[in-house]
Amino acid sequence: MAKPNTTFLVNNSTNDGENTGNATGGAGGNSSSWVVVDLVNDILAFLDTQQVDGDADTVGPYPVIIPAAGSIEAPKTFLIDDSESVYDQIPLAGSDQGGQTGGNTRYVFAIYFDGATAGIPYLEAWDDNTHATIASTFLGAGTPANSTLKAIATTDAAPGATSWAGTPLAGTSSRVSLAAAALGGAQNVYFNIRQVIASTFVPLTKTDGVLTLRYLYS
Amino acid sequence: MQLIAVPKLQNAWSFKATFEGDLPPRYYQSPNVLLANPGWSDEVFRRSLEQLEFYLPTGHRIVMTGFEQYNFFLEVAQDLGRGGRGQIEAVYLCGKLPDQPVVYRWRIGGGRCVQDKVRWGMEGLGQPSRGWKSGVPGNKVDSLVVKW
Repeated sequence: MAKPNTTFLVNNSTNDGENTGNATGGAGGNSSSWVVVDLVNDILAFLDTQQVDGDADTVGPYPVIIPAAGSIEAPKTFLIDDSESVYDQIPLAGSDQGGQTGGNTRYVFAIYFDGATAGIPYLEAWDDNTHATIASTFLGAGTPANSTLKAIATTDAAPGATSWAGTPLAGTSSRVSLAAAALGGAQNVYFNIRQVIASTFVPLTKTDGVLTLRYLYS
Repeated sequence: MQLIAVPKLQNAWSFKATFEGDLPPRYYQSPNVLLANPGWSDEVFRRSLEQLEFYLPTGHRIVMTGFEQYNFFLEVAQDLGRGGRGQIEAVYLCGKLPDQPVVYRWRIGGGRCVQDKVRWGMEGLGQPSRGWKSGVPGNKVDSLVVKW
């Protein structure tokens, strides 16, 4: 059980199908289309409807508009693809409360492991890559339940509802198990994620926030 | 230029497993687990373990013996964005007490070496872990840090 290599991928199609290409992505099940994420240079972005799929990465970004009351799910989700220099939309991201075609969909974000793990892999969110604090208002300013990022594991099944709520992501105290057990061998794990902005949200000009995959190996 | 040799630290960040019985190999000495495959899943680990040791970079050694089962694993955090390289955050050594659902667990990471006791099935970041090896219960249970 050596250290497995992992590959992050996103489905940039409207078709809900498995990542059959594993570490290389490409055409997947049900005519889905999987793009390998460059973990150093690509950026996951939750944006307003004004941002359009295929926009050059010099256009915008158009941030989510804070609602006057209640809360809003970020209308669109993109991978800012550094190698293509474009906003690559992830249409199935989020629930039906956003502005895309997401909902009760299962194959949206994938992480491919090329080997076994010694424990259940987790998806977490942190202020920065030191994984020490969750003080950012994006992550609930110390109150994990108020994190704007909500995720749901879909490795074994679709969310079960088009308006899925998801688990707020903030450090290790509020995170998502991406599988029911340690991985016995090479496989994909899947999840979906959305950002929910409340009217009380205090906007940030800068964040070093990261989504983090945590796993064990031996 | 004068070099200062510190031979005893050459084993830092490696573990040593001592197998039951007199048949060779009697021991398995891992490479530096931060740099190479620890080998915990190798064929040799089909044999029961008498003792599990881990060499710290401080000149100390963790010794675990007498447990019913042992496990060893590393914790990795890999970020989506801003770096992306999987970073090893901690090394774990675990020993399950004979006939009790209790695990003695050492966590070495962040400049600290801490032992705690957790419920069997909670040792892997709050969930069960895979990779347990049988021990040789019956001897006195020990879990301690000693100088090399």
